[in-house]
Amino acid sequence: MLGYTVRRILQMVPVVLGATFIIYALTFLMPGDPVAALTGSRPLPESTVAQIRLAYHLDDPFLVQYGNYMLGLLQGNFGIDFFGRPVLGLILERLPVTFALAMTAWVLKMAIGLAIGVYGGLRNGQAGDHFALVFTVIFLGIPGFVIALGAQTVFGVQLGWVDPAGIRAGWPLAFILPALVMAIEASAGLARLTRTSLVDVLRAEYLRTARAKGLSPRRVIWGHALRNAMIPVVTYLGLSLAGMLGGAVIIEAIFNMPGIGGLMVTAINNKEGTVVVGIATMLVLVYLVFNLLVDLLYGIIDPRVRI
Amino acid sequence: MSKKKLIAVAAASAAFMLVASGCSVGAGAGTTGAGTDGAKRLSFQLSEPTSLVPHENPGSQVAMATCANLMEVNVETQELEPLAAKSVTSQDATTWKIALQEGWTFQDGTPVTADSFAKAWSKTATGSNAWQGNGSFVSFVGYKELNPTDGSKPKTDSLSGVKVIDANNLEVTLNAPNADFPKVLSTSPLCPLPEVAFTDAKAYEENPVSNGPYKFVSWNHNQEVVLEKWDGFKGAAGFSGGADTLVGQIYTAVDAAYTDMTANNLDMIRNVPATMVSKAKSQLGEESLYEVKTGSKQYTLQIPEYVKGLQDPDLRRAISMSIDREAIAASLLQGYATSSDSLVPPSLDSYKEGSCESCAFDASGAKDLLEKAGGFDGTLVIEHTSTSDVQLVQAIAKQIQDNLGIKVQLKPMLGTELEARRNNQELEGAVFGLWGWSYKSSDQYLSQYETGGDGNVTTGYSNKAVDTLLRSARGEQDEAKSAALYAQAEALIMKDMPAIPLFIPTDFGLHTKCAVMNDAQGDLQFYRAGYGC
Repeated sequence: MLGYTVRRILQMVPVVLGATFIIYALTFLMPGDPVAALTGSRPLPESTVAQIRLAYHLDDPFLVQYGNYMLGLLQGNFGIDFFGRPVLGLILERLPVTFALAMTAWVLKMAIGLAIGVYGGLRNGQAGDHFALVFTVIFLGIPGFVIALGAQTVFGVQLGWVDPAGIRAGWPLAFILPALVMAIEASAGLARLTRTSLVDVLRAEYLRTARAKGLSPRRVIWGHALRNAMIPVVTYLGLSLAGMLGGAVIIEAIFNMPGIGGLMVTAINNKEGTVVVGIATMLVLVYLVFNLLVDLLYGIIDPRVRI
Repeated sequence: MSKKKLIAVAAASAAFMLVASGCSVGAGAGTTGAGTDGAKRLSFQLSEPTSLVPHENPGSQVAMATCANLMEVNVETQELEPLAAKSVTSQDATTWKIALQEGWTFQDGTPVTADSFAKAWSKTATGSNAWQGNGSFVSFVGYKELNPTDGSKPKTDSLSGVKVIDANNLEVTLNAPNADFPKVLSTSPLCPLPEVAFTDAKAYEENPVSNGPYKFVSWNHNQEVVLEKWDGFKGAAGFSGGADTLVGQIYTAVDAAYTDMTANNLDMIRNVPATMVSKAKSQLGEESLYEVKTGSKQYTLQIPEYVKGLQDPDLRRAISMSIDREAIAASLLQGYATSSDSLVPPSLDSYKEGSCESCAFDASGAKDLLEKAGGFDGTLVIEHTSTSDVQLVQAIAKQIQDNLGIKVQLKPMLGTELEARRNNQELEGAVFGLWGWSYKSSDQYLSQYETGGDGNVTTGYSNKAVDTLLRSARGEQDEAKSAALYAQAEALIMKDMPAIPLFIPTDFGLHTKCAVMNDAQGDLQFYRAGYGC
């Protein structure tokens, strides 16, 4: 297990290198001049532009720029943005918000999705199953921002239960509504996966055996069926947590959560390579770590993986 | 498990994860809504500042509230008046004598002296500091030495054109006469800085001290900036507002701010987009809208000189005449704009009604003129940013296409890309843009058409007679004479039509009943708001 873990961590190095390279190249290739973004329609004096270009090595060839960036990164230096602020500071200022939002949404999604999926799976073909199916279809079909804007208007503006925009109220109050919106939308996919996986497992031979041995239905379902049905679900949950970190952009914008998404959008618009790559590197790392955790968790659920 | 329980469990496990991962998210009680404890509290929309130092982030509302400049526009009189200065005078508009008010201090008690200005200006004018306010000092003697273009280090660290006479007197020398200099003195990059800003710059960034009507209290990043009225401010009422506490609530987009306002959590929004005006009218009521009194912005279609096929002034006039400005203003812009007939907005002294004769809609006249100009068989390209005004540009393009019978192609692109194309003179056709002033002056509009002037890179227009007129208008301290010179210059420019005037948009602010909004010469500044509850 230890060797496996170490190997997995070493595998992450080329992935990080490759990912940052691609993202850096894409940002570099984007049309437009980053210095132009600083000023709006009033041009900066030529000398200032020259100073900025020099300070940020904007006129160096791409590989030199990337090389400089990676050298800095190896020393833990994420560079500075065009206003002279350290990029790492900008990211760390906002990461906790995105993290808290994604985590809350993920836990809510897990609760809602698993409950509906298990409920539907155990009542395969009955009314309860149909209810679960309808629920999932509805929430898969409605675009997330529609749900978000609706929830914001009803619970934030009309009922006034929570602030509709911003995190002044802190966790959990300010996070519950946006997280719930994200969770409801995402739980549909999870519910369907759980349901299908459970239905498959329930048909399996070894469950008939278990029942034939006279095990109680509770033991059969919780001890045998669910445990096996959870394998694909855990993979999905793990990967989707990382996805939620990156996918919170729209929800962050609607609910005015100062997370990583907004920073990324501004940075892309301003062509601020160091910020874009900084965030992306961070997200890639998070993704890889979650991936690793999922694989390790596999071993716990399914002993066969450990062998 | 009941659903309630599920949520409780979910919340509990999320809390556990947060603790486990060592994250702390800004908790704390959110006191929202105005005036809960009897104090006059107003909140305003803010985006996360890049800096609170006025020289670094000149457009910042926080910086404007905390700094008292040498000159300032008085909201009550709408006139430019001395504030931290006692007087600003010049014989030749080149060398300026500035006398400071005596006994003024910064909010930390240290005195405001001539040095506080001189040192701040030199630091801002130094290119390698990359402060946004740098461009304000281009006209100062000594600017070039602080901004070498060859990438070398400047040999000096102070502006040679700024002389400190004594604690209360300064002398500034400009490269060329400029009667607008007192107006320049009202802009943020010209604010003074206290000694602490130079001794510990890093700490100052997070805890700025200035000399203005409001003092900085706290900055909770990405959430809010809190300002408090400063008792020591010596300016008159016309230079500050009525709130005891001003809270800049940070939003990533105006839509979120608007939603927060409908939920009664926010008092003021400025630069309200046209699309939001009608919505606000029906949702929040007519009384929530504040119409900015002075039109200070203008949409134009600029035509670069270097674009082949578009050089003929008659062709440009024909294009201008084919646009039905009134119709677009009334329908698409819902009446929140007026059509322009001049290169400067009517609020300026040099404005002459109808100086752009071909700005009046005349479809058949346009066609005749096009024929006279020898027709046009190419495609008229209009470049613009993809983020805003798309419908407006489409409407204009359609008018030209339908009324002139020529092909028009739109080129929407990212702002950064358009800026780059503009600055490198790579535009393929006309470019749609919005221009506004930093201070009220015809020069702010017309210098775009001066060879090498501010913004001239867009059109590349050059006319020696215009250059001469603009230079003398700028040097003329008699306002009426200066306005006449600007008008003459405009008439000359209009003949060549490097830009087609389009619309003057009406600027709106939104406010709750406690906030009484004010604008200073067309600029809505939150800190000037009165308190009406």
